Amino acid sequence: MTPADEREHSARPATGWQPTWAMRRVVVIFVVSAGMTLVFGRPAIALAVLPLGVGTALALAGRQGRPRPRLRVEMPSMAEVDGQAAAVMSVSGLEASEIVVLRMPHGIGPPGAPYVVLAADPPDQQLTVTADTSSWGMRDYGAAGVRVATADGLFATPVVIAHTAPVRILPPARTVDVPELPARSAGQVGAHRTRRPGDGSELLDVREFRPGDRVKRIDWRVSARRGVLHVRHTAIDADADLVICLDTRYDLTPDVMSWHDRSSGVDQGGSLGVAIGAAITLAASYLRLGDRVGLVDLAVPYRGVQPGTGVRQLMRIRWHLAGIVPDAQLRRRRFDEGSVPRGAAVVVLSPYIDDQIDPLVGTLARTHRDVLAIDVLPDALRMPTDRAELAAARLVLAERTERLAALARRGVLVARWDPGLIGLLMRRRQRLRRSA
Amino acid sequence: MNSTAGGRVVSGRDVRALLGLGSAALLLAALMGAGYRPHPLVIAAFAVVAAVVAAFPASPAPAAACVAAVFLLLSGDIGFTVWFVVVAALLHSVHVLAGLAEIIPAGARAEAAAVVPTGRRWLQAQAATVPILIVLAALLP
Repeated sequence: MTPADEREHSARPATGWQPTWAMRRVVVIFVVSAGMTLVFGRPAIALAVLPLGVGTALALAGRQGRPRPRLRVEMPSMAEVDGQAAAVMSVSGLEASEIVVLRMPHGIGPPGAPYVVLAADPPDQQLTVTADTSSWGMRDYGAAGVRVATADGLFATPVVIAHTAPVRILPPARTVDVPELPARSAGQVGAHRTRRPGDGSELLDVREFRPGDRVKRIDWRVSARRGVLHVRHTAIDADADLVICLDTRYDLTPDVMSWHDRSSGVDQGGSLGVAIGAAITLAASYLRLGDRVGLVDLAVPYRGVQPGTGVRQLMRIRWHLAGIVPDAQLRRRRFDEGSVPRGAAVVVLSPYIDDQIDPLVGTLARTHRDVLAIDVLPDALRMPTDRAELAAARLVLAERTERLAALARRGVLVARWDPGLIGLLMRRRQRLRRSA
Repeated sequence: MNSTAGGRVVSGRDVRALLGLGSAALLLAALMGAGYRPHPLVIAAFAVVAAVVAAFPASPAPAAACVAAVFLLLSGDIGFTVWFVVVAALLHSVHVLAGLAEIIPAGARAEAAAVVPTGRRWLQAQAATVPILIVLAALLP
């Protein structure tokens, strides 16, 4: 199956005409009226169904051939949230039909009008309709259906179904003012200053020429002024890496009772929705500054995005985040700390609801990575009403509070997701580090 | 070929509303044609039947309403009157409207062109038979 085939789902043609309730009704009315005419000797009854008989005869005389309706729905592979996305529905094989009833997939076409009824002339038709892109993520619009009828609705085909391919709707990339990241000591190129002397663009000082200095480093103006060769001494430039670690195991909504439910998609008001929004905002903000940004899916480390720069990297991260679906099966997996590069600033986005996150953040903090733990659990939780469930929920939340406090004691910067506050906290952390 | 949403449209709800009105009129005309005087309770019952027919066109309800109209005609002092012609015309109309309502969902907006062949056939059948019935009503007792 080629990718093009995957995006275009067509349905098998219907098998043939099937009599509808209208056909059965005609038979019943004719049988009853004929029977009553014969039994009671009332010819007026037969005459009462004369227009119906003539109309039915005209309808049946106009019926031609077997129906072969085909339906194909073409969807875009991805779209921007609140952007333009069009679905093309192609109906063909309408030669023997009069009325075509199209059932739109959910979220396609005008809201509140799931059906479109068309005349069957011409026999091949294309309908371009807009798809709803108001929410991001993997959007499955479901199936479309078509049914055709002929002869005043006396005959119709069964519904022909065509499934739509899911559309990846990219989350919006907003930027916020963020502080400069600490430069990686291992880097040799980049937009950040370091204090290490080397081949860079930032001037440290000008000193006398020594054997081994490169000729291109000679500062001719200073040398002419002082009469002795002088060279420019620079600091190396370096990269700054930001690695965003996303805990995709849970999508916790404000309703605590729903935490055990299996989720089929990302709830945009839930913890994973907040985490994805935060990840994109951080990625867009730091990529705009020229930093390298990577993404690690803590549940499935091989599913991440290697650190990189530029607009394409932002698109890569958005594409990846739009495809994330919380999976309860992943809750038992062990984290892989090795997937987080050394020397990088690390942001861990998680609801911190279980103790599997502790070893990861602890290891990152021990290995001198700059770790920022962002708590993405929704603010106003709706607690259960049942006493036992309420006690259990309070216990889980108390453990979570203690877990976050322990992380803070280990030197991890712990904060709730707030773009403005995050910047302030990171700046304060940098000032403290410099003063230390 | 591209189809657009432009042009005249017929709503599925309009078809059902017409079907309900037609069913009520059919039963009332059959009652009058049979020589009965309409009682308010009977009219209320007809309204309920008409509502059921409009709500469930893909069911035996329209056939039941049509057969009930024929039985009403039979039960009374039937003759070739104007009411008889009206019953014959409405019987066909209710059947056609029920057929359309069965195909066009209530929430649908149909291109007017989609129902034109059905409308044309309805008009042909009515034009071919109703004058004959009128003549018969005028000539026969």
